[in-house]
Amino acid sequence: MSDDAAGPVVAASEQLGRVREESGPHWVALVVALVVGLVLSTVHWLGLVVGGALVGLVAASLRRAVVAALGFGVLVVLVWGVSLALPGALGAVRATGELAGLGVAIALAAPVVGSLARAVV
Amino acid sequence: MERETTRRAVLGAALGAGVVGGLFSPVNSYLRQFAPLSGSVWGASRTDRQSTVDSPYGPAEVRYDETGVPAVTADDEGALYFAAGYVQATDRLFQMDLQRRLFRGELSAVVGSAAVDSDRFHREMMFAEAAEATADHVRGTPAGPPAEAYVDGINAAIERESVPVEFRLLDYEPEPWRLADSMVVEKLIAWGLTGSFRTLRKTLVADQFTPEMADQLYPDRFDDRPPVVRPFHDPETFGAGLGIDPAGETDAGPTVQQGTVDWLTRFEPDQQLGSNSWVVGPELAGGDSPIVGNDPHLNLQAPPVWYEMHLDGPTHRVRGVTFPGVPFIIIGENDHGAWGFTNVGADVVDFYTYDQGPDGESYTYGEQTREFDSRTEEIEVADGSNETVELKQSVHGPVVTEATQEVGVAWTGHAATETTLAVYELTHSEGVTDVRDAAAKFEVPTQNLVYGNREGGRLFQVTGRLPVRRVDGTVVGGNRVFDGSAREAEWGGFDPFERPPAWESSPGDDPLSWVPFGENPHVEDPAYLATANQQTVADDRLAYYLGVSFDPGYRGERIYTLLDERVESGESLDLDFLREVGRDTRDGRAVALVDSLVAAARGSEDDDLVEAANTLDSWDRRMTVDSSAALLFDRWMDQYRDELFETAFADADLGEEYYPADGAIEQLPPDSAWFGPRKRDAVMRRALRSALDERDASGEAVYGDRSHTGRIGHPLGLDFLAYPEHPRAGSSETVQNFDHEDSRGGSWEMQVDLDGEFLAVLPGGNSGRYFSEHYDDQIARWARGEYRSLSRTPEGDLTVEFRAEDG
Repeated sequence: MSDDAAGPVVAASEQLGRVREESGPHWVALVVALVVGLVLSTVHWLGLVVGGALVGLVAASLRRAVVAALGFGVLVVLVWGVSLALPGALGAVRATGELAGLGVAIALAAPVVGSLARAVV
Repeated sequence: MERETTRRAVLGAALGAGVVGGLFSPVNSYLRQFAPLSGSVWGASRTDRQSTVDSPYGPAEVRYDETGVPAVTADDEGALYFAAGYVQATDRLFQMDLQRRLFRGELSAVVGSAAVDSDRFHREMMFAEAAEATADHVRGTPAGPPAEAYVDGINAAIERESVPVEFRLLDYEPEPWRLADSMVVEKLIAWGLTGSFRTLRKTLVADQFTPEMADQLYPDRFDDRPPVVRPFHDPETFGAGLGIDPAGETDAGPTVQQGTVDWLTRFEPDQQLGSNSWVVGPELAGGDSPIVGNDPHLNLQAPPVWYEMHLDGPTHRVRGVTFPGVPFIIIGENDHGAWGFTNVGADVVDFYTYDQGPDGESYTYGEQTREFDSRTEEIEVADGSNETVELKQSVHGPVVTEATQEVGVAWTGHAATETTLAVYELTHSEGVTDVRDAAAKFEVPTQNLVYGNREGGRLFQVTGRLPVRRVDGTVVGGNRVFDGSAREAEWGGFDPFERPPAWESSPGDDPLSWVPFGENPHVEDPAYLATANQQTVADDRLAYYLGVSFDPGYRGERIYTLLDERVESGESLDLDFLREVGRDTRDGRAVALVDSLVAAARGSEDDDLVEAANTLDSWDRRMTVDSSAALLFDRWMDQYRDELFETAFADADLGEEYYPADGAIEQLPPDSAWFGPRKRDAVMRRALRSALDERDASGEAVYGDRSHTGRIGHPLGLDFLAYPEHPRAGSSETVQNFDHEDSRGGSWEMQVDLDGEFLAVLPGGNSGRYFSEHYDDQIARWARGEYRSLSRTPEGDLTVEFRAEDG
């Protein structure tokens, strides 16, 4: 790879290093990742994986990435609960038992899978 | 470094595998369905609907009342029924789709291989062909245009409204609705009320045991209980002079192989369904108009089999219930009168065996050899290999092939029938004459129609086409299997899947092939009359064969006893009194059996049995929710049935489906061979011991612990779609009806005082959408035996506005 071609990669890598290590940029990036992840999750289940990947990528380590992804999953469950409670459907969804449980499990597991991206980048 | 690279590769591969696996494996469907925020199943929780809809038929308005019942108003009949179709599909689309799939034999395509046998049966019975022929005929009648507008309304809702949760769980989309689908629903209902393989079962039991034992299990008549039409109705002898009085004793006819009967019985409609209805004239009702009550006891399920609606059009206003998928209100009232139905139990199904050719493709028919009309169909199976089924048809109708025997089935419902037109005319009727004209077109199922109008007119009328059978020129009953090759008992002028020419011609054919409608049992202006599926008319008042599948008559006897006593007391049979009649829970089986049971138990040395006898002896025979005796009797009845038949039937390789009605069990003489060497008292005691053991093991204390609405489930079998538990009084044999074991009972409990209140309640809720507040908002009231008071003017906020497409 030439120095010219390597320039943007190096720059991106430096930026990624900053958001992982510096508190201010880290929190900004984390909030952006959470919002983007939530928006994508309302469209497709892959949004959960992408959300997990985004919050993972701005984490300082793989372990923190997994924890952040779990946190994203919990946030998704909370938002989901509020979105069901507003039209009065939360009780009916809870009554589905295992099916609602499956939804919660997906909310927690899919972001963790996405967070494995932290090990690659 | 190398280790780090390996770790990255492994975790990267895990990420890739997770994403690829999620996208391209069966897991994908679960993720699409159940992922929070985006999962399709959770999308069903949004219960909002379109507030404005374009209609090609013109403007209409829909208001929903506080129980989710739509009131549709329109100045054009097409616009009215377009909106009716739209709201029905919005509220009950999955139920409608399931029904058409069931009777078309297309269930496996969405639920998988478990439904293949059901699909085979329903295709072999060719219900879909009958529905197509009926749709073609109905299109050309006055009911055709509104029915087609209704179909268009359903399809508009399929296109514009979100689909209910069941479609999302099964992961399929509904296909467009057709008029023939509505006719499939009509066939489903008609078969459910007239389809019976009793003749085959009785013949087989007679063959396996003795004819006398078979007669005891399946008696043609239940003695000593009042028929629907009673002497004070001053009835004529129906059919007198027509020369169609059947010969008394006839040959038993051919026996159908057990494998075939077993298989057919698996798909037989519920034989214990029953209903109540009554009409009381204004003189006795204490007002200016009659009171009409109707409580059809059908299968209970979530959502209910009935859909309630209120239609206010240019030429009629009608409120009541219909089956989802059927455009016109079947039971209810209009501005002129009210009407209801119960089942007759008439015999409109015959079975034929054939001398087959060696290839199985042909059969002897008189002097000829004929080929079966046959074709092969493919049954689509979700998540499995498709299956094929060979359909066969003879001159009589569809031919069911099981084991090595072909059995032809003739059923009046296989013709192009006018029942839809009859129901349409009922909704528009303005008096007794109109209702009788409509009833003449109600060709299947055979029903007891009761009607009353505001001017005081009343009518009881048996509907349905009744075939006349002949063997060697002699008129015979239909309670045997016929030799189709010998051309026994052919239905004259009847061709399956066509409009029967005999039904279009005037009566008086020689020989008479069908009972003329004017000879169907009927009573004009009865002072009071009640029906509960018992024998319609005493045998000495009926000069033709009507049927043998009548209800034992416990409910009929109880209703007439209550009404007779009230009349004798001189007090009026007003709505308050009839409300109590509708909520009566005295069980005729208990009245007939408990004294014998108590005596048998008191002869025991088992202290528990003696104590149980004391409990039962002091019991009022009412199946109330707080009664420990009712619980004990209920459990005893189950055990008594098993004690009587379980071993004997198992030895003969017969299942529970061959068990007789409880009325037959009660009538067994004490020396019946069914008691075996143990005698009746010992059998009763043994059943009571088992009942006590079962009760103690279950932890139940009172009847309501066992008889509750939690027994009413959803066809998909998912617990959350079933109803919550509320104790409900009544049994399969009480006026307030609830068979908790098989989940059937009062499916639309209605009492209409044409000079006062209109009362009714549904067992569940009017919406079939799980997430709707109206999914189960009537179930607690139904369990408590309460009614709702229904409005006769459209009520509720404007919910959907239909606008003319060109406007």
